Amino acid sequence: MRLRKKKALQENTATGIISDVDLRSPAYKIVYGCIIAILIVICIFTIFPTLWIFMSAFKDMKEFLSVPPTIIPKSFEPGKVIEVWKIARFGTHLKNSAIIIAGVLICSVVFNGMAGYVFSKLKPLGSGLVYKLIFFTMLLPTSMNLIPLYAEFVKFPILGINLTGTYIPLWMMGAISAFNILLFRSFFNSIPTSIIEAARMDGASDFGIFIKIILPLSKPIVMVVSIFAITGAWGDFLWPFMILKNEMLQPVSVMLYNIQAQLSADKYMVVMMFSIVPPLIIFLCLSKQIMGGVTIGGVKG
Amino acid sequence: MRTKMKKCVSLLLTGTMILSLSALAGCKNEKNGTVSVTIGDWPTSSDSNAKVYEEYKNKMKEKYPNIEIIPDQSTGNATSYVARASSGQLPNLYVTSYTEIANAVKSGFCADITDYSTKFGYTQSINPLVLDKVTYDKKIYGIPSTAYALGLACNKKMFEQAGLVNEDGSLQYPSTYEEMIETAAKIKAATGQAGVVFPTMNNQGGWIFTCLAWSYGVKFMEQDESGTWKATFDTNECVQALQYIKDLKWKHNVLPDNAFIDVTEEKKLFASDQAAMYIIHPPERMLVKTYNMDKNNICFARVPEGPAGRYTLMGGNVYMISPQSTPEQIDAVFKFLDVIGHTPNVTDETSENYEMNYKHDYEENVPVMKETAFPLWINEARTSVDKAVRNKYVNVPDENFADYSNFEDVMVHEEEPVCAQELYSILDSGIQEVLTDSNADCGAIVKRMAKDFQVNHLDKLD
Amino acid sequence: MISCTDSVQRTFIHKKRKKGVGTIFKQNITGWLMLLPTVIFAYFIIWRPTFVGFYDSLFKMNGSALVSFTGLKNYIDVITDTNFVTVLGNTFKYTFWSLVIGFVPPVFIAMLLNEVRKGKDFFRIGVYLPVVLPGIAVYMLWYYMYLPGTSGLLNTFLGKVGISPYTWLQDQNLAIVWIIISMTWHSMGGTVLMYLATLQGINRELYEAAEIDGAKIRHKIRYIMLPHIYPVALLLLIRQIIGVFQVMEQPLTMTGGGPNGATTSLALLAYKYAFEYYKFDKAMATGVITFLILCVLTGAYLVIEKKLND
Repeated sequence: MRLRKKKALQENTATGIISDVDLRSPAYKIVYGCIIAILIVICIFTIFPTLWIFMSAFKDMKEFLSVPPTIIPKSFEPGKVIEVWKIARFGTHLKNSAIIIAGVLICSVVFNGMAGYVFSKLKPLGSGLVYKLIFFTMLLPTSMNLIPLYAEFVKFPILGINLTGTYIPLWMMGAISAFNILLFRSFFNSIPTSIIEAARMDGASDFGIFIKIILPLSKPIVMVVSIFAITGAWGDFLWPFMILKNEMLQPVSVMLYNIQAQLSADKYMVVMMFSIVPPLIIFLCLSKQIMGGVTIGGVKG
Repeated sequence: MRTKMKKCVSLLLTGTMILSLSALAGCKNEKNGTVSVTIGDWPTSSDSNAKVYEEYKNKMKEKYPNIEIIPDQSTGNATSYVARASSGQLPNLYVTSYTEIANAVKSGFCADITDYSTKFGYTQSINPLVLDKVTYDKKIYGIPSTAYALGLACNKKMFEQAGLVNEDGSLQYPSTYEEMIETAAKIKAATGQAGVVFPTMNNQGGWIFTCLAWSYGVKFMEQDESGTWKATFDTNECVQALQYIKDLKWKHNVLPDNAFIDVTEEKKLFASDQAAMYIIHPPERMLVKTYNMDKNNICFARVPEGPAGRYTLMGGNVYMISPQSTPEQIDAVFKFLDVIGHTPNVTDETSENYEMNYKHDYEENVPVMKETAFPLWINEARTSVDKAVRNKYVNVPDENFADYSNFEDVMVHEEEPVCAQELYSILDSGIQEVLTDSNADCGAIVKRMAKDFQVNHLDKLD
Repeated sequence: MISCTDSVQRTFIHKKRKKGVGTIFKQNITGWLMLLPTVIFAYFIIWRPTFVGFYDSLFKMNGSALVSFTGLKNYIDVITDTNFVTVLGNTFKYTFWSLVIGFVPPVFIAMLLNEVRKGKDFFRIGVYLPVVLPGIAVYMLWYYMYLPGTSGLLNTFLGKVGISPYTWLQDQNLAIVWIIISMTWHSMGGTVLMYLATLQGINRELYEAAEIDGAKIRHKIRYIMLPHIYPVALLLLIRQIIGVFQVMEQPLTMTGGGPNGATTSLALLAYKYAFEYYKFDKAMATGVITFLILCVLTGAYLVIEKKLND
C-alpha cells in the first residue's frame, strides 16, 4: 500500500489538493481547466519578453529601429551572431563567469550549509547571538558598506594584500549569505532531531553526522541554493565590475555593460541573447532535479 | 566520505593560497629600476582603437625599456571611479570630462601637476581658456586632452527632407532659439520625426539647460562680500527659458516621445534619423563608430542665440593623474603623453605617433574636421603640426562644419563655479516635470528649484 | 580544522557514556569550529565595513579622507534636505506596491502549479525563466517594453487593441508601479519556487486524512496549506521588504530617479550622494538612516512572529 502510494507520488500525478477522485466531477474539471488557462497566461507573460530578445537579435538594423517595432521579425541576419561572438570575445568571458560561479557555488553550499546546521542542530553556547547578528546583516543597506568594503579588498586587514584583480572577493561574498543560511537552517529544522540523537548514541561526531547523515538528506535544499547562487553570480555586475580591471578576467555581466558603447542597438541585442543562453541551458538541464526534488519544510517518507 | 571532504577542503585552501600569492606577486613591480604605470581608459579589444594603443605601448617599450605600461581597461563609470579613487586605486593616468574636474580636485582625487606641466612646456602651450579649466588656486590638476565648444548638431539628411537647404547647398541652420522651433516644426512635418532632442537626465539636462538659460540672461548664482553663495535664478528669464523647453513639447510637439533622454540616447536618435538637432560638442565619434551613421550626414552649427546673446560652454576630456603616483610615475606618464604625441614639443617621431590616431579615425570613417573652432594648443610649432595632420586626414566636407567654426559672435561661458553637478541634477528634475506634465507651472518650478538649490546645497557649503 | 574535529570525535567516542561538562564543552567546540568560517567572513565582509561606514558618517569627509568629527551634522543635513520626505515616501511606495504586486501572486501561482498534472515541467520552467536573466538584460528589455509613444513594445500591443500610446515610466504617479512590475517579473520565479517546494513537502497523508473527515478544498487550503506556507511566507515577506526598501539599480537604469524625482529611493539618494557629488559622509548617513528604518520594520516582524508562534 505504502509502496504504491510512493510510486504514485513519484510519477507526480497529483501533488495538490484536488484529488484524483475530485477530478472526475465536471465542476472540478472546469476548475482544473481554469488553473491551466491562468498558468498559460502567466507563462506567456514570462516567456514572451525573453523570446522577443531572441527574435530581435536576428533582425537587421533597419527593422530593429522601425516604429512601431515589429513583433515577428521580417528580416533574418544570422551572420551577425558569429560576428558579435568574436567582437565580444564571448568564449573568454563565459569561462570567467564559470570560474566565478564555481567558487561562489562551493562557498555558499559548504559554508552556509555548515552555518545553517550549527544554528539548527548544534546550537553551541553563544551561537544564538551570532545568529541574530547574521540575521540583522540582511538589513544592512549596501550604500553603507560599499566603499569601506572596497577599501578592504584593496588592502585586506591583517594579511595586507590586495585582492582586487582576483576572484577571491567574489567568492568570499558568496560564503556569507544571510538568506542562504536561513534557508539551510529552516530546512535542517525539519530533520527530526531523533535521527541525530540516534547517530550520537552510535558514537558519531557532530561533524561526522553532518557529513554522513545531514548532507545526503539535503540534496533538495542544496539544489535550491545552487540555482540561486548560479543565477545570482551570473547576473552580479557591480562587484566584478569594480574589482576586475583586466578585460581578460571579466565575466559576461561586465562585458555586457562595457560593450554597450561599442555596439549598435541591434548587435547589442545579440549580446543580450548570448547572456541569456548559458544560464538557460544550465537551468533546463538541471530543472528535473531542481523542480522534482525540491521540498522545504518537510522531508518525504 | 570524510577523506573525500578533506581533499576538497585542502584543494580549496591551496587554490586560495595560490591566488593570494599571485596577487602578492602583482604588487612587487617597483623593484630594480623599473617604473610601472597604469594607464586608464585603455580601449578594450572589441574597440578598433585597441590596435593604436597596442602600438603606443610597443613604441613606449622601445624608447623607455625601464617603464612598464600596464593597461587598465575598466571604463569610466561613476561607481567604480569613485570607489577606486577613494581607495587609492585609480590608474596613474586617467581620463575624465570637464564637468567632473571641480569635484575631483575638491575631493583630492587627482595630483597637483603644476611643476610637471610647466617643466614639460604644457603651461605655455595650452590655450589659456582651456588651461583655466584645470587650474584651481593657481595649481594645475590636469592636461586637457580635447576641447570643444558646444554647438548644434544637425542631421543633414533630415534637413534636406524638410527642404531646409540654401541654393549653395548649405543647410538653413536656425540662428536663434525661436528659429530653432520653426526649423524643428518643419522637420517634424516633413519626416514625422522629432525636430530637436533635449537631454533630461544624468545631470546632462541641467548641463545643456545652463547654456540655454545664459542665452536668456539667467545668472544662476553669485557670491556676496562675506563669501556666501546665493541662488539668483528665481527670475523671469529663467521661467522663460524653462517655458521654452515646455513649449517644445506641449505647444509645438517637436521633441521625441521619450522624456528620459541622456546624451547617449540623443546620439542613438540622431544617428538613426529619429531626431534632427541636438546641442553637443563635435566631433561625436560614437555617432559613426557605434551607431553606424554616415559621417557626411553630420553637420554642426553654432549654438542658437537667445534674447541675451549667444552663449556656449566648453566641453571635452582631460587627462588626470592619480594622487598616489610617485614622482617617477608622473614623469613616466608625461613620457607616455609625449610618445602618443599629446605634447607641445613635437618631434618627427611624436608627430608620427600622433598621426596614427587621425589615421585610425580616417580609416574608421570617424569625422576628422579640417580645423577646430577651439584650438587646444597655441604654440606655433604645435598648431602647424595639427593643421598639417588634419589637412592630411580630413574626411568631411568643410561646409558641414563651417557655421560651427565661425566663432565671431559666440561667447564662451564658464561652467557654474560651485555645486555645478548638484545644480544640474535639480534642473534635470524641473525639465522632467515640464516635459511630463502639460499643466506644470514654470514659475512655481523655478521658484522651487532655486529654493532647493539654496537650502540643500549652497547653504551647506563650508 | 578537520584533524581538530577528528580528535574531538575520538575523544567523544572514548567518553560517550559520560555526560557532563566535558561533553557539553566538546559539543560546543565542534559547533563553533563549524561556525568559524562564517563568523570570519561575516566579520570582514559585513560587520567591519558596516562599522567603518557608520563611524565615517559621524565625520566631515573630503573625498575619502576624514576631516573633522561633526557628530550628527551629516544626518541633519540629509534629513533637512527639501527632498528627503519625498524620497522616504517613494521608498515606502516601492515597498507597498511590491507587497501588493509581488507578495500574494507567487503564493497563488505556486498553489496553481501544485495542482498541475500534465506539463508540469513546462509551466515551472516558464514561470522560473525570467530569474535566470542577468539584471542588465532585464533593465534593457523593460526599457524597450516601456518606451512611450509608438516605438514602445507595450504601446504596440495597446495600439493593436485600439488604445492610444501611454507614457509608462513618465507617469509621475504610477512610475513606481511599473518599475515594481518589471522587478516582480524578474524575481517572482524564485519566490514561486520556494513556495512550491514548501507545498510539495506537505505530507499527502494529511490531505487524505482530511478527505476522510469530509474536508472541502477551502478547508484543505485553510488548515493544511496555509499553516505550512506560513513560516516561509514570513521569511520571504521580510526579505522582500528589505530588498525592495533598498531598491536602487532599477530606478537608476530605467528612470534615473525621475520624472522629477518621483522614483528616487533612499538607496538611490545615497548612491547620488556618493557617486555624483562624492559626498561619502552623507551617503553613509543615508545608509544608516535606511538601516534604522529597516530595524524598526524587522523588529515589528519579529514581535509579530513571536506572538503568532506562542
